[in-house]
Amino acid sequence: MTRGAVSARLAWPLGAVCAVLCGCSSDRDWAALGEPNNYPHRASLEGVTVAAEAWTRDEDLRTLFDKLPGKDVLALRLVIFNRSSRSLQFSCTQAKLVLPDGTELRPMPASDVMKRLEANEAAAAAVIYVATLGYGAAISAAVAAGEGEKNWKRLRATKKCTMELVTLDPNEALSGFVFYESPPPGRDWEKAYRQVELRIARMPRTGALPLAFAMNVLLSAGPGKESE
Amino acid sequence: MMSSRSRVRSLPQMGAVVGLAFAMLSAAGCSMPISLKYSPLAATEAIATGPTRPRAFVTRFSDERKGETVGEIKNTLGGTAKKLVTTDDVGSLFAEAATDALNKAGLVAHLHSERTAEGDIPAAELAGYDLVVGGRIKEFEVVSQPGWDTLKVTSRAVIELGVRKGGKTEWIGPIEGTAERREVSYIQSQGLTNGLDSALQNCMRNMIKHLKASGVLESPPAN
Repeated sequence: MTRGAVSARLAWPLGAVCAVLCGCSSDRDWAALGEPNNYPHRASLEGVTVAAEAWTRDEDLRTLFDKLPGKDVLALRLVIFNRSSRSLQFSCTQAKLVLPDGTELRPMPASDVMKRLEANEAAAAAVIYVATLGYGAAISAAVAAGEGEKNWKRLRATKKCTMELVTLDPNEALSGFVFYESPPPGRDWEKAYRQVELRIARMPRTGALPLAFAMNVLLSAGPGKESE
Repeated sequence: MMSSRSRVRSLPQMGAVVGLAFAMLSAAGCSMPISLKYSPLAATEAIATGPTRPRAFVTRFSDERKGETVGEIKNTLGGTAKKLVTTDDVGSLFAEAATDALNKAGLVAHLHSERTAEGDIPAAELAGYDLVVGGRIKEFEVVSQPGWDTLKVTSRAVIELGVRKGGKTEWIGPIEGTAERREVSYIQSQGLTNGLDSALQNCMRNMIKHLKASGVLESPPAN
């Protein structure tokens, strides 16, 4: 096995470990993110490389969230390497996912993703309330408050791992997630599509024309999986 | 062991508890009207710094929210106690906010809330303007929920911004604005109004940043 092949095999698990260690926050540590060539799905232009990996496995998604957002939500991890001499900017509004039939999808707002993860605190509270014939009202209220607190933390965690708008200085690398909901909602991404195309329409740079990227992303590949 | 008499007594009690639980946990069906406001931003990122400031014709935002409510007040057990509604014009409010944000960002923006970005605008009205700015409101809601010791208020606004320049409209989005507050005392309608105001302000700040990152005001992409 060549050294390059070994590196490529290590890229996914390293990415997953990195996300876990960083508490799913965006990572600017180039060493932790590895080399651009280690990522199978990538596009490079004028010193800037954008890599994308679809996280479809439950065990990988559990490193991001304590609950799963559902199979119709695609978590796309982007890694941007800036080896150019200019600062550049990424806006999630420019990152569209193109389905095989040509449908273009815009990313989900982070708060929409969070709503998928919200616990229904009223259900747990109701069970306790009824089971204790109303005498456990204080306990059920405490349970509801605790679940509400978890939802509050989920909102922060989701916002933290979402790559919305970032600036990369020269020789800086960054990773984060962009989320997409399948059309129609409820459809399993992995079963419906083998691969999708990611298009980043504009990535503005200081003192130069903006860059544009397009790449295919295999949905059956991701951290801990063999890429094709 | 429970006697048959006490069991009979416990059935109505059980029914009352279940009924009360459902009443507390499900939407009571009542709604509370709240008013909306937008507090002008102190400053935003500058996106037009050249000698000539682009002139923007700002139209009313179209309201594409799924429901008619602008949020809810949750009870102690996490159920919906009251749904929040408003009679204020949400589309005009967002247009007013966008006009303020664009002016603070260095453009010369004028509000024309009787027009929409998708609709036809007479050429005579557009004379002297470089671009038409409008939007679609996707989400605008505030939720208050009792916590351990404070009341938590979360609010969010999600829009898509439409910019028409040179006969071509580009939609930028979703652009999100969120706000989180912890209130010590029981929140009244003013606190909910402020929550929505904060989310809208945050959305407008993000709108300017994403507008800058989209490069729409500058030249087209190189490739």
